[in-house]
Amino acid sequence: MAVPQSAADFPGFLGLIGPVRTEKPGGERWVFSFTVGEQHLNPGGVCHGGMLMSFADHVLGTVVWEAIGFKPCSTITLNCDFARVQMVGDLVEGEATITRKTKSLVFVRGHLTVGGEIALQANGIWKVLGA
Amino acid sequence: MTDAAIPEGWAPIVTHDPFEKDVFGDRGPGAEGGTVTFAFYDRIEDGRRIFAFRPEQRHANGLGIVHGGAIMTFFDASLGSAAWDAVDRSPAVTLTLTSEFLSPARPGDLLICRPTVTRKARSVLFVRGEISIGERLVATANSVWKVLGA
Repeated sequence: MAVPQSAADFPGFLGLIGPVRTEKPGGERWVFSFTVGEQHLNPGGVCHGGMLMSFADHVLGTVVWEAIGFKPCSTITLNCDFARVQMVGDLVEGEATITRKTKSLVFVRGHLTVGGEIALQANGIWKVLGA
Repeated sequence: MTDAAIPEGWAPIVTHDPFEKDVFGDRGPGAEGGTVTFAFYDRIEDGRRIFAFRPEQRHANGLGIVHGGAIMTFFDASLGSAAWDAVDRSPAVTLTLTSEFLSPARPGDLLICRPTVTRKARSVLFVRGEISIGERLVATANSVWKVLGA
């Protein structure tokens, strides 16, 4: 199943902080990434936690969204642990796995990596709206 | 960004943070090379610093509600400011931030975050906070911060 909008056309907030790569080449597995730019930094000169959590929300949320057939859904909880800082030019990649799915809830965990090293680990619960 | 009205009683925050400048918007130059934010404010309430965020359409997701990433950025900025104030502005980084999303926020709402430092140790700080619109809770968070070099 393809994501029902092109990655470059995400409206609103993701467009504001992006671009973020969101693709499923060959329909095999999702590829999520963004490259840290000057606009993503905090005053300490490393990638802002808000950017990493927003990207994590997108990665986990997209995998959830596909698992429920692209119905409207909403984040209920998201826990993020920051393992390593990222510098300008770092390619941050994300992946996520569904751990449990019920009629109205989806449990998911994932992580962000830079060069194969863990940058952030996350887990969350999503609610299928109206279910 | 045409609606430049500042909510009564709130002061726009001057930031030196490139990401927050993009997220909260750029009202113009501020003191010491900072940027006066458009949508991020603070004030003192009962002796404690509290924060406000008035999201716009560009903070919404495809459902028309404020993106979780914008809410978490508001938490990170507000809880981080409380942590930073508590350590006399020594550099500190987020170790973990846990968010619960209780109800939706929409563009135009005035979101208020009240952070509380629950414990301050030598090298780590524990900060929790909640975001509300009027009496309605929108989100709650717990966080742990590391004071760099401590």
